[in-house]
Amino acid sequence: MANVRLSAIKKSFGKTDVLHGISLEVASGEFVSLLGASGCGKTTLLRIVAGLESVTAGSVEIEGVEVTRLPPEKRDIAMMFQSYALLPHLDVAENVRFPLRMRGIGGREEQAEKVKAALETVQLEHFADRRPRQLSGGQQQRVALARAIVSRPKVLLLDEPLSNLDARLREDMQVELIEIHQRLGLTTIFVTHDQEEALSLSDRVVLLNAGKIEQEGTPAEIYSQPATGFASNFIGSANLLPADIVAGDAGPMAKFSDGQTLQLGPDERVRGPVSIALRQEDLSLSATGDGPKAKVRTRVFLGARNRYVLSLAGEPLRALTANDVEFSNGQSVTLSIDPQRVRVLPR
Amino acid sequence: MNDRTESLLLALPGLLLLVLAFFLPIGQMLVLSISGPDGPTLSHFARFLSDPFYLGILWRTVRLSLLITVICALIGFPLAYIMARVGPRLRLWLVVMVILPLMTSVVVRTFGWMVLLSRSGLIPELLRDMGLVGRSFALMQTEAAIVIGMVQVLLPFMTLSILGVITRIDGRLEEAARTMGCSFLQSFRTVVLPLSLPGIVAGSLLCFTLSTSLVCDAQSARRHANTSVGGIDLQIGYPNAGLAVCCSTGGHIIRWHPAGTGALYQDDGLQQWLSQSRHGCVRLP
Ligand SMILES: Nc1ncnc2c1ncn2[C@@H]1O[C@H](COP(=O)(O)OP(=O)(O)O)[C@@H](O)[C@H]1O
Ligand SMILES: [Mg+2]
Repeated sequence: MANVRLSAIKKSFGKTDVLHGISLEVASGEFVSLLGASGCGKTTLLRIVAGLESVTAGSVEIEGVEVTRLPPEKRDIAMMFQSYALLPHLDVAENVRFPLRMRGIGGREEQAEKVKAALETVQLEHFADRRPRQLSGGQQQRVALARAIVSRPKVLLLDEPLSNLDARLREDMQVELIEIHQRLGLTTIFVTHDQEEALSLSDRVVLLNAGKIEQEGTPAEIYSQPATGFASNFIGSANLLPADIVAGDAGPMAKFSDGQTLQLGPDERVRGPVSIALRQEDLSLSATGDGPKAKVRTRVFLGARNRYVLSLAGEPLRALTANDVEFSNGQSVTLSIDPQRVRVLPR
Repeated sequence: MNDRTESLLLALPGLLLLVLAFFLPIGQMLVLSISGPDGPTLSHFARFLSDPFYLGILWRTVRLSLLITVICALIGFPLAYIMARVGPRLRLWLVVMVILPLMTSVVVRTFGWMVLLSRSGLIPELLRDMGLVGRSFALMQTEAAIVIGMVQVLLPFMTLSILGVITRIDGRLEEAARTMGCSFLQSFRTVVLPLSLPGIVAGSLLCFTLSTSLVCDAQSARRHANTSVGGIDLQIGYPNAGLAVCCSTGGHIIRWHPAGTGALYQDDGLQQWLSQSRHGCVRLP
């Protein structure tokens, strides 16, 4: 059963149209990510679900009840803000108790127990009487999470909750989020601009582009079968090269503007002018051999890996290799890739 | 040179001025208030505190000032909140409107209130016509008139003190409160009010201190409203300097605005007292 149903949501701020008709269903207990570049309308959509923003057209339903015109306090939701929005004049325990107090959930003792349990969930039980400003960024963020889950809302809305954390803390929090979701089974809408985060956390990813849904599916589908150029570029930051499809001895081939060709899988059906999507991590480079040649422009050392920026038919092309693969700038290298992993997208 | 000495140096000219122009004279006054013909004495204070005339003035001053401060806070807080949350253009207009009364001369302002409040003025007429008040209803020269006039003068101080604090409150805190089950008014009470308390306290202190000195003006100046128009501002000179200072330390530094807010108030005892003070010199009873 759908827990949240958005139907043809449109939103304009004055003359600027931000959302162009978004329809989306989130099942009960599902963890859905809204993924998209900054400014594509993710926050706006989340705020519409929360009731903090009105819609220009369309409707919002939560558990089958239309809530489009209800103010936020009448919707049973919890939202975690990117800036955490902890109340600075209350201590940690009071912050976490706030939604219980305001919604009148339980008596004083029951509330205290729930607060304690929520703080234990995020491992902050020893910080109950601190003020928010006495906590580090990561701790504040966990308080915000505890506050969001303590009232067991029908829908949990998370707006880029991990974006202010350093890499280490972020990984820890991702694991924590997954565990909390598994334990509590709250219907969760998670907003992020980080594709890895979206892919690793969610049951379903909704890719947004300029106020429209570009593609939605499971993380595996989104990753392995991007439907559009935008999707394949955004997910896994694949290289997109313009090419034509020509017939070759061993099936169709992609012909780049400089005449070089790349073998495609035998059952590739798309014809005409196309974009060839090549994932950075699928490309391998060698000094000799058959295949399209590219010139090395720069090498970026990433620790565990090297990233080479190459140039093929005048287009930049990025490739990830092991960190012991060494080429010099200006050297000509041969590209090879499994034909099955090349995606051909109509241009 | 470290930061501390540097900032101290920067503050030095201001501090020097403060010491020379404020602390020194105030200190002198304090010394004066405890000195008599035969060395140090508390007799001035004893006289001040035992005379019901002075105590009456003191009590009325404090009472009116408190009332004025509370009214200013009750109007100023929602006003400041609205100003903080509207768009920048509208905010500019509101700020101008709030500050404008401060820029008009005290004379013009007072005559404005006279037009509105006097027996045949707009407001009493209107109230009489609507049958809400009796024929003998008057606002001019009542305490109500003082309070109304002073609230107008002091409201900008309150509003701007609170506005400074509210603009620094993150609007998302209120939104977060809304998503946690607060209605608009609840979020106002549980989030905005406690966080703007510093501004309310600062504004209230400002209003209270300003109104204690202004109420004095109002009480003392009625007499000369008709005879002179303009901004003569003089300290009433007491022949008995010690007692004068004693009054001052009680919160009254009495200034004299002949056509100031005082025109709104009449007090017979005070008037008698002031009638002897035409030349800025009072013989005390
Ligand atoms: N209150 C607002 N008034 C005007 N424009 C807004 C407002 N909120 C957001 N926008 C615009 O809507 C677009 C989407 O914003 P947002 O939803 O915050 O994007 P995202 O969260 O995906 O980065 C942006 O171009 C932004 O400038
Ligand atoms: Mg955003």
